[in-house]
Amino acid sequence: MTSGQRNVRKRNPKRAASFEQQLATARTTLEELRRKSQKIPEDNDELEKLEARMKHLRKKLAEKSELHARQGKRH
Amino acid sequence: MHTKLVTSNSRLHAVHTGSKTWGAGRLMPGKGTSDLQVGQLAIDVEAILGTPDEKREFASQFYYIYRDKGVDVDFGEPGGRVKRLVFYDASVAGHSGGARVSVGGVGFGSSRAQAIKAFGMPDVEGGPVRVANRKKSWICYASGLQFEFNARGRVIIIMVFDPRLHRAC
Repeated sequence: MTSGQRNVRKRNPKRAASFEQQLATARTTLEELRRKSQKIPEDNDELEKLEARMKHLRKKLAEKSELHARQGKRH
Repeated sequence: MHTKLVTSNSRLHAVHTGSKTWGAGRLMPGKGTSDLQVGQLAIDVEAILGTPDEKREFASQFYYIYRDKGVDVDFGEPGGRVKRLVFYDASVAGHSGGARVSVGGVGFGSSRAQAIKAFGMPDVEGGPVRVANRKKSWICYASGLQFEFNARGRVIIIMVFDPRLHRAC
């Protein structure tokens, strides 16, 4: 007897869509700010923040839910 | 007879009192004000504005930040000469005070249309983007002048820079 697809890792589609939208917004802002030749300190700060945010969002997007077999179990 | 040493016109006097006496004024694109100008050394800037509140270094920029005067000065690198002068309206980007500057009749609170009427169509424009929880856009002229606008299209930041730094995007 098999468990079929029960143990497959899943992604929450709404959560993933939200992260993708946030990532697209951050990417647009990042590109526009990089294009600006005369940057002021707040632009440089924002670029750093955006790069960190995009890294975080990419990581979150790659994440999938816990294995079904692991749910409710502790180490 | 005592000889009184008059220091009011000396550089030393300016260093000591510069923070209170700087009056800003009219800006010249690519140059600066009558006293604070592109090409000056840090010692000249400190003689005019005093000791900066903060110094910040980025990839190819080295800024002296004067929060109470509403001015940032970019030297490009430590020990370099002034590349960019940034003037802020009060309460913009962490600056408590505003610089009293204008250029060609355009100052803080002027509209985008007024700036374009005074200087013509910009060579580069960008935005709007959200930076530090504020939406802003900008227009830039090859002569060494940049205006940044808030969400309502009003001037909040004026930058004068070395025209050799201009690059069309």
